[in-house]
Amino acid sequence: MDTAQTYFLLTILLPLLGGMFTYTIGGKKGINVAVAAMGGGFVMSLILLLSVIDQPWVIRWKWVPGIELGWNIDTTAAVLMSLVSFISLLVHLFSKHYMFGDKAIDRYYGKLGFFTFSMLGLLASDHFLLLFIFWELVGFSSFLLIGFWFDDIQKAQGARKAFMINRVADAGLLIGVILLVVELDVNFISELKEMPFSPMLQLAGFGLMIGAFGKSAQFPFFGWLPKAMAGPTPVSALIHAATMVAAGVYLLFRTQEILTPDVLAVTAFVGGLTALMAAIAALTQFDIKKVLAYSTISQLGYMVMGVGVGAYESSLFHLWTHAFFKAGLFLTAGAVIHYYHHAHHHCHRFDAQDMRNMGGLRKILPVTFIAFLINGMALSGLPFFSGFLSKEGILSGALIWAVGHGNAVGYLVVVMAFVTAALTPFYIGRQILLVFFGESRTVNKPVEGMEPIFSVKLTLLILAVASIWIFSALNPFDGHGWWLGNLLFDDHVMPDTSHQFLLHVTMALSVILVISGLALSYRKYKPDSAVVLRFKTKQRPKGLLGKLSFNAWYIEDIYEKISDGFLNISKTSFQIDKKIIDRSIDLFGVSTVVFAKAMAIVDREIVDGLVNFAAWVSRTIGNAYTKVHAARVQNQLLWLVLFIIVIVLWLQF
Amino acid sequence: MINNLLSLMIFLPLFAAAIVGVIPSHMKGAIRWTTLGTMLVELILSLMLFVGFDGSHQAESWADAFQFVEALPWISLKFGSLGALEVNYFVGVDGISMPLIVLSGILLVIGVISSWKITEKVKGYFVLYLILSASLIGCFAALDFFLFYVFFEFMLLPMFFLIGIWGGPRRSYASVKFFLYTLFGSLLILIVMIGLYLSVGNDGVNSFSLIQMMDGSYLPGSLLNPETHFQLWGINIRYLAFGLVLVGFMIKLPAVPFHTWLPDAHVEAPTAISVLLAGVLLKVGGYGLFRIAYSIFPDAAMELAQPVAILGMISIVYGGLVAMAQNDIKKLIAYSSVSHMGFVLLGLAVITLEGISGSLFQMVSHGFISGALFLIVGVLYDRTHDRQIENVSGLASKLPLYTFFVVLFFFGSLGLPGLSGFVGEVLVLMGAIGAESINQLVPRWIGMIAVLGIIISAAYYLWTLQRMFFGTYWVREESWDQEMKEINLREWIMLAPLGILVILLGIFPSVLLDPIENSIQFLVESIINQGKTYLSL
Amino acid sequence: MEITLTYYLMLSAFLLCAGLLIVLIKKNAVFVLLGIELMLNAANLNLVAFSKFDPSLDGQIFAIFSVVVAAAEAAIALAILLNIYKTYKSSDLDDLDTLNY
Repeated sequence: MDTAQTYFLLTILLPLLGGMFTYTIGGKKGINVAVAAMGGGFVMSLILLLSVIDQPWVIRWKWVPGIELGWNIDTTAAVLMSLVSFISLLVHLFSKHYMFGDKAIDRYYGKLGFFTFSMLGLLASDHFLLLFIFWELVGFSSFLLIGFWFDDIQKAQGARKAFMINRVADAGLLIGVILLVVELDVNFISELKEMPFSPMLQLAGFGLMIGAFGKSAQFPFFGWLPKAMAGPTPVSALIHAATMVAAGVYLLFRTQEILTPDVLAVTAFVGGLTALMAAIAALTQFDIKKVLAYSTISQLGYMVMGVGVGAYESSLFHLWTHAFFKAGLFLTAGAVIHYYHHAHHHCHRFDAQDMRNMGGLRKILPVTFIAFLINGMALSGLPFFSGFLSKEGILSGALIWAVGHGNAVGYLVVVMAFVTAALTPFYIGRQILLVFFGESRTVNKPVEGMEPIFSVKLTLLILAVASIWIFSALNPFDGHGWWLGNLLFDDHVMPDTSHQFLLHVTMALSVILVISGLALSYRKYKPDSAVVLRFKTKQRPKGLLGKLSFNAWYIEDIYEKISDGFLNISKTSFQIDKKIIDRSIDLFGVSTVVFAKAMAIVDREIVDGLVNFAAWVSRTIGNAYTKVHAARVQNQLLWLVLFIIVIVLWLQF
Repeated sequence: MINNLLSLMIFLPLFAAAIVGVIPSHMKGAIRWTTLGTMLVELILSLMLFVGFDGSHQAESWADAFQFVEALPWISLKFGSLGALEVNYFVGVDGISMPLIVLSGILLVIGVISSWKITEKVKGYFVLYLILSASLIGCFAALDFFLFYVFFEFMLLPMFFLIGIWGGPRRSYASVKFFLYTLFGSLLILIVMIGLYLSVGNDGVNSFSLIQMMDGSYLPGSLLNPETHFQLWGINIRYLAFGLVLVGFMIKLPAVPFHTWLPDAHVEAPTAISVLLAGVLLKVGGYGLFRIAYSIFPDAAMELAQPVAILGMISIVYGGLVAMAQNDIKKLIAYSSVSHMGFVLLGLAVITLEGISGSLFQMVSHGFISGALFLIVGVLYDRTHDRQIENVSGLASKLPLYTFFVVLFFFGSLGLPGLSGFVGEVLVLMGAIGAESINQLVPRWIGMIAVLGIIISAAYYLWTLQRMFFGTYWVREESWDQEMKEINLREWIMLAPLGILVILLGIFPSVLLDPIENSIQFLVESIINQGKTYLSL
Repeated sequence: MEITLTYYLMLSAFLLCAGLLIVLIKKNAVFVLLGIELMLNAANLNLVAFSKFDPSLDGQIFAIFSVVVAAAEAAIALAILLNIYKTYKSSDLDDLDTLNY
């Protein structure tokens, strides 16, 4: 066992073992073990990163006859593993406070550990089948965590629906993976290279794309992510913002070499479309987590689009920055929800996630406010924050791609991307204004001194600070100056100088859009504005666009229709089974019995009848004969004599 | 190693049945413990078989493909000028039958433990149980078609009584349906058996030996000799014979549209019998397809690969759809068995290494998982005497350990990676999708449609999980509430080993697949090569 | 006139016919037995007559045999008849129909 293997095993197994220990033996007191193990895992992931910088670590082993699976830790995998470990560690820390007092907190930590293990395994997988295995495990652990409060049937349903939608997309991924492995003999991600176009490659590419769309919540699968908000908020931060949902982007990023131009074009278009649709959906939500959920979908759309347009590096960069600021946003939202939950715990019908009940938290939770503000600005793409840098690369990549192709769809993608860039600051500005500014809109007066404890504050601040530009790139306006860029990409070069003009256009345009978006949201949602005051009546948005937005394009209703249709097919099948197949079998059985009965009658009346008839005939004759001749020995003798005489006479003449 | 391992495994339960037969029927404990002891010995013997099996053995022909072979003359009737009837007691295992015998060994022990709660006519029950187990193992070990058929038929009898006497309210309907259905199937097999006997042999002497049948030592000019091209109703008689055995074993498997006996039989059977029925008996059908339909009629198997694969695909999708519409949890699991056994048929039909290994793996994995699922239903049924899904909800908060097992086996069954169900299904799908470019037998779209099966199975399992285990705790009858206790030691002893096996096989499938790799390779090669030879004649 | 074989045979035939007639028409078992004796003696007469015209003595010996057998048969038949009479109080053959039913 070489050292890299030791580090790797420790990295992925420590979180799992810590979680399992807590779940099985440790109980509520074992939480610290889980957190410590996670910390160890994070340290190990850093050591692993250092040990594979020069030389990727690859191992293969036989899984079943004919199929070898393998791990491959290159710098990309190691960096992302560190990222996952880090976010997971923060979530472990945060949850200690957030989940305090929950009766099943040990189970919670078990599931968290399992998720972290699966996610790390996914990142380290080299073989496509192994990737699929961890892909599914990630989905499964997400199911377990979303459904953590399974007593609440709504939440359990959310978990089920999220898993099902993922499963549908996973079927596409499975087909893609099988086609790659079996038909094209492409097994290992680390050995991918450009391949000549073939219809099979195209089909496999679309399979991978569908799988990626499922995990990364792209159209038409994005409906599962808002459902996933049923889970505890730290889980949303870990799984549904920073790590699992990025798996799709990671997959596309890893397989870029074999994706055909058609697949990439569809990817770019769907990414742009999802970014826009989700941004519009985020505009009107009242649930603090739902806004963030749609925002996540929208940002993932950016990343997917980035891969589609060829801006892989920027996509991965955005994945990186997004992981920090979105996890930060979710955790701060968690802190807010936690606060409201405890402030109003005596009031059962109070919805601690409804922004219409909030307001004025700036003074009550100052640290939370600052963290949320910084992360929100990073999300909106304001210069001097990390989000600006990474988004910049994607937007310019899209523009360069569109100009290069010069067709209408390409420009449509660009337009969608830029509209989204304007909508993002608008909805996040709205959220900040509604939650933190103005006065509390609830009846109860806010309780003072509810700022969370130190470990929580630390977690939030770490994430907030990480969203400042300097931790991503030295130059706050250089979208291609990622610190890690040189490490991750061998051919890390600045874009062609001929695109310099387009880069400047993108930058100018996006800064204008961000600022105008923020300004617009302040104009509309500033404290004491008419819109905000109306919230007390809790009405839903009106108008077509408002309804579309609030109901997220009715995607869930569409899912419902599809699943109802499926259920109907299923019921019809059962009726066929019962009424046709089983009935015909029964009919066959019954007709056999009827036939047998008929045969019995025939047997009794005809076959047996013949025999009986013969017997009857002989009996009748016999009877008649005995009546005539019975016991008359002399009569018999007489006949005898007569016959002898006849015979003698016969012989004589 | 014991020389007569297989004979010991076959006759030990019969011997034990005789012993149980003379124990006074009021000594229920003695009867149970005797049976359990016997089955534990069987388990040890089957593990010895597993360990003693030489996986590195590369077979040249079927004649040397088998290990632990025992052969003795059994029935010998001379009919003068008509020839002679020669039946041999001929047993042995290769990589196809060995895992199934081990599977039987494990599930039979669990079946006894699960039967502990049988309180009526205990003696009769366990005698029948022992006879059943002997015939099961005999069926997997037999290398003489006549012997196979004897064990195959003999299985029906104890099963009929076990369902018909110890079953639920509609037991007589179910047991008669089961009996007649399977009898019908074995009738078809009988026809083919006689046809094969008349066609196969050496130097003009007919033979029932499966090995000679598989090696294709046909008598010149005989009925089923591939050179004869004998036709009936304008169809090659070998195809007809293949069709007959196919239907015969598909009834046992069961595959759509011959599956309707299964839900009835399962619903009415006592828990232990359901476990055996799903876990082992269905595998006899699959084993028959491997050993008889595909090995003896490779030409027909290749020609008819596509229709068979389509039947498998329909079983997968249709079985899943029907399962989703069930309100009775036991029926749901029964239909899910139909769906999962469809993978066995599909994997077999494509005749590739992946497909056939997947098919065999799926049989073993389904044996463990479905056995465990029926035990799980049994746990609930013991407490409530009810199986309706909508009559309970929120059990997870009341019975966490039970729910843990439920989640484990539900997800194992729906093919979560890391659990054994996934390996079988993914190998079968790889085989089905890849077959078009390997041997051009089965087109790609069949496998792609079969992928729907994994979505559907997720749908019904998760929906069941949500309806029964999630939400707030509620049971229909108040009296059930007192009975709702966490699983006890006996149930734990049954479920835990299965859980461990499911996880073990899921993570390290090569534990099972490595020893049998050569056998499967040989099977695939011999089917393809022989099939091509026969077709070219 | 010379007494030829024909005369013997005609007497024998007459005796046989007489015996047969008795057997056929008499109801009483004793008479039937008498009829049988008559027929037997007709046969004996035949045997003796043939023997007279034949140098060998075979016919005579047969006749003696036949007489002995007839005596034995008569003795047994009469014994049966006595027993039947004891049981059924009748020697009428038409009453003896037990086996018929």
